Amino acid sequence: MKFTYSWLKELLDTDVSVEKLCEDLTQLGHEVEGVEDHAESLKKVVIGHVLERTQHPDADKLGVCKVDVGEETARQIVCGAPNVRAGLTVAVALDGAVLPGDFKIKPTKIRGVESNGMICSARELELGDDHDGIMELKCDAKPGSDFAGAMGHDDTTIEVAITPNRGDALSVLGLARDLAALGTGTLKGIQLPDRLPETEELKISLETEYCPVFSASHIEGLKNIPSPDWMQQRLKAAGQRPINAVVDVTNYIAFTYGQPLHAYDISKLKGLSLTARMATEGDTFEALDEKTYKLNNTDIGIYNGDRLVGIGGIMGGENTAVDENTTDIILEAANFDKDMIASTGQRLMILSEARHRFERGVDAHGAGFYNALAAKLVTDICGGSIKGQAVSGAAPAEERKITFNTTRMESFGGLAVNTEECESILTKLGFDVIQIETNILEVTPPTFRTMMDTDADLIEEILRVKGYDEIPTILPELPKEKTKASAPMLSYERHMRRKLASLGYTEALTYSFISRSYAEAFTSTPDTLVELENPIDQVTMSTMRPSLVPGLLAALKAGISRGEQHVKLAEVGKTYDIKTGETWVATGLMYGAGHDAHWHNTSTPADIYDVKADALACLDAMQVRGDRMQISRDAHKSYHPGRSGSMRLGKNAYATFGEIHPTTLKSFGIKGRVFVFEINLSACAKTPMKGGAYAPSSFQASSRDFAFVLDKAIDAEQLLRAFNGADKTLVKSVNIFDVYEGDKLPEGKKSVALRITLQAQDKTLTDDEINTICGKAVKTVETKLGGELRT
Amino acid sequence: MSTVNLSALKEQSLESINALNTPTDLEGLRVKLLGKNGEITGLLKTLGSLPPEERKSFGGEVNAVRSAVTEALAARKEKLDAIALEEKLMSETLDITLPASPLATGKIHPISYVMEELETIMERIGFTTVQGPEMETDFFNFTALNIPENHPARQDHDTFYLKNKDENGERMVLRTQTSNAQIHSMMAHGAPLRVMSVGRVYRCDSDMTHTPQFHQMEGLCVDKNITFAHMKGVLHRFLTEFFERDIKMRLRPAYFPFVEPGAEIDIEWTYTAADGTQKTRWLEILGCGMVHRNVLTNAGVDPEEYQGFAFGVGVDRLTMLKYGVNDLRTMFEGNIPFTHHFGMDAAKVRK
Repeated sequence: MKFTYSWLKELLDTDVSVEKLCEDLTQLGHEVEGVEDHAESLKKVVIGHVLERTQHPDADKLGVCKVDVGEETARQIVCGAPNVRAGLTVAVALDGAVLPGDFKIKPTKIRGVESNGMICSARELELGDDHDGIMELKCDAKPGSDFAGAMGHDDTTIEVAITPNRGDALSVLGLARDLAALGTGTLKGIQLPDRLPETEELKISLETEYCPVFSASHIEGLKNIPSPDWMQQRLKAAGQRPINAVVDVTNYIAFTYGQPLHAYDISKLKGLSLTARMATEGDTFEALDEKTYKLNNTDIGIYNGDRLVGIGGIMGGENTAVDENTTDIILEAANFDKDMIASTGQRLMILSEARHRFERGVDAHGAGFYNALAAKLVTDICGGSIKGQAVSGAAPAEERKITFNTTRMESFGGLAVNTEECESILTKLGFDVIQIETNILEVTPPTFRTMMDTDADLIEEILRVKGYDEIPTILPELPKEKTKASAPMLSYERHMRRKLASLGYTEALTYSFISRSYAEAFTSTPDTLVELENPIDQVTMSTMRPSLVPGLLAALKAGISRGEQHVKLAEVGKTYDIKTGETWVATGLMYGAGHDAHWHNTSTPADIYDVKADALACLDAMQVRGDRMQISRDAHKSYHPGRSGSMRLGKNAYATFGEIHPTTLKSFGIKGRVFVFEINLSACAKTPMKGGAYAPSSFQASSRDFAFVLDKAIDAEQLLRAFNGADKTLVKSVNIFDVYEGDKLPEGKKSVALRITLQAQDKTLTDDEINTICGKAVKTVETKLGGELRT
Repeated sequence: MSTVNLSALKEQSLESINALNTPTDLEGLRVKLLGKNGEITGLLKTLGSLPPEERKSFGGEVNAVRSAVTEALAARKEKLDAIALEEKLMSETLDITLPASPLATGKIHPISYVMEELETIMERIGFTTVQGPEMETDFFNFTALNIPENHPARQDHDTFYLKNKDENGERMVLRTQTSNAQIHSMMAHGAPLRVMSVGRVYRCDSDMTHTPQFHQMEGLCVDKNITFAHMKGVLHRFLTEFFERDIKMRLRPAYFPFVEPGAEIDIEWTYTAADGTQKTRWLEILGCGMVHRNVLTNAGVDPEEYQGFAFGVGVDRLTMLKYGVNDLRTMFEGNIPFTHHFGMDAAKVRK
C-alpha cells in the first residue's frame, strides 16, 4: 500500500517528520518498505523565467535562451523545444541536478554554444508523458525558487506492507485511524455528503447471501474528462495509472477509504437494473484485463438482465466499462463475502485491488456512504447530475463481544497495563468498551476490523500502541528435565555428515525434486514415485527423488564442466515414496582418482572396493555390522549389472554400492566411471546395535596360508564362509591377500590366496588342532566349491 | 716392574683412546690393550708369578688401570656412535618443503553446520529437537495452524501440491514451513512442551533471492505461565548465542495466523555501504508470537490451562549473515569450490 504524506494529512492532523511517521507506522505493525521523497529527486530544479530566445547559429531546431533563475545575471541555456519563448515560466535543472534515469546536469557546449542547465519537459522530470515541449508553468514563485516546493511536487510517497488481518488499513483512512490512536496526530472528521435521493428507476436485486449489501447511484450528463492533477499525482504515487475522471474517482475512494467501487456505462447496459447472484455455471466473461473467464456457480456474478457484466468484488467487464465518451453511469459500491472472493480470485487467478480488499474484509457499513461520497466527487469533477441512489440489503448484524480480563496484559502479553489505559487505547482504536467488573472489560470491535475474536487480539492492539519494545525481556527459568519428544534420526544425520566429511566427501544439498525420467531410473518401484501437481519446472523438477544419486550426478556433471577431475561428493537427506514415505539416506559419490599425479603418492583410479570400504565405514559409524551382511547382486538398473550389489540382513537392505551404469552416465553427459554407495539410515536406526563381549586372549595366535584355484564364478564370500565356518570360536580372521586371473591359469579359473588366523581363549593351539580345522575348511572348498588347493 | 710404568701406560692408553675417530680403530685398540694378548691383560697374567705381598698391591693397581681404560673405551664409543648416528641422520635429510601426501578433505555444508549450531543452542536453552514430515497433509501444514481454506495467508505460501492423496484421501502438500512439527509434537506429547525443529521446506518460488527449497527452524514453548516477555528473553538469548555478540533487537507487530499477538524481530546490523563507510540498519530476522488458542485447541492442548510462544526463522538467511555467504542459489548446486570455502571441517572447533 502506497500513499503520500499530503494525502494522509487530509485525514490526519499532524506535522510530525516523515522519519517519525515511519517509526510510528512500524510500531503499529505497518512495516515501512519504502520512502520516496519527490523533492529529493527534484533537487536543483528551480523556477526560471525565459527572458529571450534567439536562434542557434549552427542548428535550425535549437534555440539559445537567456533564463532568469534568480541569479545576478541570466543563464544561457540551449533548448530544442519548439514551444520555448520569451515570457514563459519554466522548470530549469541547474548543474548538479540528477534527473530520473541518473541523468546528471552539468555545464556543456551544444554545437559550440555554452549551455548552463536544462529547461525540462514533463517527462524529463517524470511528471507526465508529455515530451513534445517544455512545461509551461503557471506559477507566481520568484525565479530561482525551488520547483518542487513551488509546484506542489514536494510530497513524499510512503510504502507500507499491510498484513492480511488488516484489510481496513489498505486505505489512508485506516492508517490515519491507527496513527491517531498512537498520538501521531488527530483524526479529522469526514465531510458527510448530503443524503442522495432514492431512485425508483434504478433496480437493484440481491439473490445471494454472499453479497449482503449493494448500493448503486445513477449519474447523468457528466463529461468524463481527465481527473485533476492532484488526484492523478496521488493515484500515481499509489501505483495506479490515471485513466479518466470516473475510473480515477473509484480508485481514489478505494485507496482513501477502503471501499472498492465500480462504474458501468449506462449506454452499454440494457435497462437500469443490476442483479448480484451466483453465476450461471459456464457463463463466460471478458473482464477489464481483456482476458476471458469462465465462471461457475460458486462465483458471484453481477448481471444486467441475463448478461454477465461483472465478477462481483473482483473485476468489471470490458463491454460495460466507462470511457472518455461516457455521459451516464451507474456507480456500484457493494460488499462481498471474503471467503467467496478469495476462492473465486484464487481459481481464476485474477489479482485486483478490489479482490485484495474484499478477501481481507471490507466494512459492509460503508457501502452506501462511500457510494454517495464517490457520486458527489464525480459530479464535482465531471459535472452532470445525480439522479439518485438505490441500496439493497444491509450490513449483517454481528455480535462480537469479547470479555477481556486486563490482568492478562501481563500474564500473557508480558507488559502490565492498567484497565483505564487498556480502555483508553481500545476506545481510540474504535472499539466499544464497557467495564463490567474490576479488571474485566466487555469489548466490541468496530465493524471495520476483521479477525477480532479473542482477548489475545485485544492484547495485541494494546501492545502495538504501547510499543512492543516496552515489553520486558525475561529469560524464563525453563525446567531442567527435557521434553519427552525426541528425534533420534537427527543425531544419526549429524554423525553421518561428519563421518562422510572425515572420509573426504564434500557435502552437497541438492533439490528434493528431480525429473521423472531420472526418478524412474533410480527406483525399482516407479509406481509409487511422488509427483508434484505444480512443479517449478515440469521437466526437471516434477518428481520427488527416490534416490540422492541423480542430484549428485548432476552436481558432478557441473563440477566436471568446471574442470574438476577428482570428485568426492556426498549428501545426507531424504528420499520420498508414496508407500514407504520419507527415508533418510546417506549417499557418497566418487569420480577420478582422489588426487592429481603426486610426487609421493600414486594416483589410483577409484573403484568399487573404495566405495564398498566407505559404505562399511558408514555402517560401522551407525553401529551396524556391515561385515556380517550378505552381499547380493540386486542393485537397481542404474547400476552396472556386474559391478554393484547390496548389503543385507535377511530382507532388509542397509546399503547399495557399485559402479553407475554407463548408459545412465551418458544421460547426464558424464564420461568415465562413477562409483557410489547409498546407506539407508532409517533402516540402520531401527536395527539394535550389537556389541560382543570384550574377551582378549593371552595365548598365541597362529596363521596358515592357503591358495586355491577356483571357477571365476565362485564369489570370494563363499570361500570366506567356508573358512570362517570351520570353527565358530577359534577362527579369528580370514583375509584374502591375493587374487590372480590370467594366462598362467586355465580359461575360466582364478587363484585366490588367503590367510586364516586361529586363537583360543584358554591355551595355545597345537599343530594338530590347527590342521584339523584348516583341513575341514579346505575340504569344504574342494567339495562344495570345486576348488583345488595349490601347493 | 714399577708403578711409574703403570701410570704412564694408563695415561698413554687414555690419550690414544680419545685420539681415535672410528669405531674400528677403537676396537683395534681395545684388543691391543684388553684382548687375550693385550698389554693390560698381559700384566694381569704376570700377577701369578709375583710374591703374595706384591701381588695384592700390584694387582689392585693394574685393575684400576683396566677399569679406567674400559670406561674410557665405552665413553669414547658412545661419543663416536653418537657422531656416526648424527652423520647418518644428516645424510637422510629430506626436502621438508615438498608438498604433503594428498589427504581427501571433505567439508560439511554451511547450512547443515548452522542447523547443528541452532540445535545445540536451543538444546542449551532447554528445548528438545523434533522432526516433522516434509510430505504433509493440508491439515497439518495449514488448517491446524489456523490457516483455513481461502485464508489470504495461504496465497503467500506458494504451495507445492502432491498428485497423490494421503490414506484418508486428504490433499498432500510439501510443507511450506516447519510449523507442522508444532502440531505433531503437541499431539504426541501434550503440554508442557519445549521443542525445536529444523529442516527443509518448500515454496513454489524461484528467483535471485528465493529457491523453491530452503530451510527453517521452528521453536515452540508451551507451559502454564509463559508470556510474551519470556519469548523476548528466549529469542534474545538465542540470537546473542548464534551471532556470538550481544544483539540489539527491535520487535514489530506482524501477522501470522498461528500466533496472536504476532511479531517480527529486526536486529541491528552493521554493514559496509557502497561508499565504504560502516552503517547500521534494522534487519528482519525472524517471526514469532504467542501461540493462537485455535492452534493449541487443534493440537489437543487446552488453551485455558496452557499458553506459550512459537517462532520461525530462515536457516539459509542466518547462514548467509553469519558466514558471509552472498549467493543463495549456489548453496544448492553441490558446488565443491563453494562448499570448500564456506563449509566446515568434520571436527571444526567451535571458537
